[in-house]
Amino acid sequence: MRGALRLRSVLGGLALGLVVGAACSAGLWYAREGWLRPIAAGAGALLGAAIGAELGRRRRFSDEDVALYLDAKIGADERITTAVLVREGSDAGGDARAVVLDQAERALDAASPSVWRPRVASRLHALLPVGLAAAVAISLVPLPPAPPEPPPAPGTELMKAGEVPGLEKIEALAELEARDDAQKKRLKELADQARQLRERLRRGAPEREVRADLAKLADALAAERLSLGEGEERRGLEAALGQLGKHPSLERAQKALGDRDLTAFDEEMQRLANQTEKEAREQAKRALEEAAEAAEREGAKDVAKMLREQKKLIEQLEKRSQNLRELSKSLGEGLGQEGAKALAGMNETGDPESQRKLAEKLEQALSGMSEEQRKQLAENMKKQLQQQLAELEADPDAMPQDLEGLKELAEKLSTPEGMEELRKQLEEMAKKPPEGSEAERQRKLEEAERGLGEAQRGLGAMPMPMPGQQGGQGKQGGQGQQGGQGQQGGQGQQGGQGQQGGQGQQGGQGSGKDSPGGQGPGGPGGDSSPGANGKGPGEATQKLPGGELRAHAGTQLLPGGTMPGTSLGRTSARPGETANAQGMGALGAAGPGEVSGVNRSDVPEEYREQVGRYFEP
Amino acid sequence: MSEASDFEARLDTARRASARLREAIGEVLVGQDEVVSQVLWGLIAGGHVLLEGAPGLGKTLLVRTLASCLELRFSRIQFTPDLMPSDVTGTNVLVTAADGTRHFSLHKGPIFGQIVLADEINRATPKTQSALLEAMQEHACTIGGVRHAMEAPFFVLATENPIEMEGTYPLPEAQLDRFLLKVLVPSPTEDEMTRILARTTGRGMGDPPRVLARDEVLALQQACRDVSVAEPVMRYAARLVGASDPEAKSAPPLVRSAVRYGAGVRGAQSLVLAAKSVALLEGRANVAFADIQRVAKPVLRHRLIRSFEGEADGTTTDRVVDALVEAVPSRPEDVERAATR
Repeated sequence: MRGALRLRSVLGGLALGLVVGAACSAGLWYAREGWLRPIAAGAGALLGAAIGAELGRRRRFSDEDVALYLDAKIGADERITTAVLVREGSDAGGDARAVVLDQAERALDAASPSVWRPRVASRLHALLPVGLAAAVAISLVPLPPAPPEPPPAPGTELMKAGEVPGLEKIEALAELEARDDAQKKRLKELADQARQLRERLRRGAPEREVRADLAKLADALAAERLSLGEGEERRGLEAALGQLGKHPSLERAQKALGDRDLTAFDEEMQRLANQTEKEAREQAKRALEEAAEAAEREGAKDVAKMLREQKKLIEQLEKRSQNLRELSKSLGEGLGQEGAKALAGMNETGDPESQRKLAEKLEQALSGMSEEQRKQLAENMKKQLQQQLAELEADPDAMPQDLEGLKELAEKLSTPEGMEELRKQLEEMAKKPPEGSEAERQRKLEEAERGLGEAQRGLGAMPMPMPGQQGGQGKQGGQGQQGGQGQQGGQGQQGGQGQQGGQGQQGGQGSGKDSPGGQGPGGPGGDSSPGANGKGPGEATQKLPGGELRAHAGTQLLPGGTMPGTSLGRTSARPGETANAQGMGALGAAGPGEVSGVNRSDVPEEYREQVGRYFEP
Repeated sequence: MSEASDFEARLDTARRASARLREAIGEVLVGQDEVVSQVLWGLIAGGHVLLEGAPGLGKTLLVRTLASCLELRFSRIQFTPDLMPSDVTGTNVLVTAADGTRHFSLHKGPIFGQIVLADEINRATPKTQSALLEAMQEHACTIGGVRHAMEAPFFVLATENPIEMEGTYPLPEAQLDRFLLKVLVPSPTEDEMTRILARTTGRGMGDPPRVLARDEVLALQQACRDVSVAEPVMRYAARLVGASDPEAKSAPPLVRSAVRYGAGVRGAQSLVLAAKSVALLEGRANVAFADIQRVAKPVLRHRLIRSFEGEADGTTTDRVVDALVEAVPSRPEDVERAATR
């Protein structure tokens, strides 16, 4: 009887296990794991049978249970149970014991085994063929077709590009003369990163990694561009700025240096060198020397070195502008109307552009001279030299180099070779004014940033707006200085609004610099500077030529406000990107105890007072 | 083998005695077979029986007839409100001897009979009712500081009338617990009534024959004690009584709501004893689950104290016992499931 009950339990477990196994097989069929289907069904059946056997073992009937079962089955009024327990001695039945045993035996004898034998089959066992059939069917049915591949996650697409224009400008930084070994190492790393990025793009790399690398490069370039006077040299820079601030004529130079705009600083030095008054030039040189000394005292050797370079630059430019003036004076009417205008401009404002123009006109004038005219010009120069020498005897304060330059010019003009050499020098001066090493580094770094922006555009990403790039746009404005919007950009540079207005100032300054005559349409010059693009805040944007409406901006723009999504920052980021770089703004790098850091920060001027109050102790 | 033959003979004797008693009682009392059976269970089990029924249903007649059939001393106590305990137990009286000396002599009361009919027991005061307690429980009676044993067999049959509640004193729980069974005497059916009329409105009938002698009754009581009870059956009785406690986890919902106090140990003992007598009278040497279930109502109905909710709902203790029997399984669940499929 116990065996039958256990068999029943095993069969029940087997049936349930088969059903569960078939269900698992169905799941595997859905998951397209074809070969696992029969294994799952078999495992389910085996597991079910094992569980059934274990349950059967645990529920094994004791003797008492068997007796109770038999009593219930044959209606023996618990005679068998009593007899079993009496036989085991658990009941002191006394005289009744024998009678009970006898009655139990008789009851068992009288009962047919078919009455008390337990049924092995149960309704649960009907699942056995059902589960078996289901398992076999599911194991044999063909797998469903594979679903279409899900689209790749955003940013995981491989980006591949054979040539990425712009990256070579970053790679060129490796050749740039560095301020010190540390900067050399940093520049080399930047170039290496750009080269590696190019290689990866050639092989193909995930888009988001490429974008992240570009963003990191942008961060590093911006940090490098602003590296002069940072960290330990901060106090020295502050001291130098303080010295420069004592001289009203160097106010613009002080601001340019404070903004680490060394290109603007360089141009301001050129303007100072072009000044007519010798005293003003000497004052500027003294101020530079004092600033360099102050920086040196505070440990800012790089700042001091840069300032002394600028001082030397002033001396060179001074000599050159003097030569230009002498040559112009000797030419007289031969200079032409435009040349005379450029000379007047240079004398009045010291504008480097006027100087360049003057050099260009002088070179044109010399090129068109005949041999006779050249000799006449040389004679004039000699006479002028004699006159100067006579004046020098009368005035001992005159500078010796002035005469040296005049003498040199006269000697050059006396021979055709010298004349040719002079003409080439003038041609060179018309192209590129001399600049300091820091300015050259900054220019190269700005070029690298523009190259990075070009690369970003080439790869379909929106370049981060940076001062260097805006300068580039401004440059296009400057290229079109002959007319149109570019000329307005130039005016913006000169105008008070453009120069004072943060980004507009940068745009304006970019214009007209190293831009020898491109044909660009004229960029805006700055995001928010009305002077940069020559458009006032209330004026409407000009209609663009186009056959149809391509896009319609539904956003209400704040007139004169910053364009949404193009706010200027030191740390580049993309929507949804996690910050991974420390901010590089001037405010973030303010020295300990410094109280005027906010004046050099990116904070708009109108808010600087409020922000400054917030940081006051 | 001789033991088996001996016990089988006793079983046979019990069976035949039961049949003879039924037949003899049947000559006087019409119908009431179940009542007669239950009274016989009480007699064989050595317990006492409380008969409850409306007046005129033959309660007293049954007891008198039974006493007549048995060769036992019969005494009757008619309980009235002014009945005193000494009227039941007896008392010491001052007796003057022939020589003029005087001494106290015990004058035994009716309690000293072997079959005692306590008629309309709920009409006496509780004080008088409690005079029965010691005798019923310990088969002894203390009078004047002297304990007097009852002569075996001692069988108390009490009757009470549930209708006339005026001037009655319901039996306290302690007193009720002393009764092995509480037998409800039902009204006769139409046929039985017709036969009663035919039998009682004619010429008077003679006394029923003597069927059992005192020793035979004692032998039957001894045989009842020898009937075997398997442990699962005793466990079932224990579970049944345990489930009558409303605080028990196994108590069915009706018990929880309608019962204030359940049966106690004496109830479980009574269940098994009564079931043994049932088995004996049916010629079996062992007790079955069915025997327990059969005696459950008469054994438990006066041991369950209903709650206020149960009384307000009109829930009878018989319904509660039915719920208990239905809710408490006699066999283990696995066995029951295997046996029913």
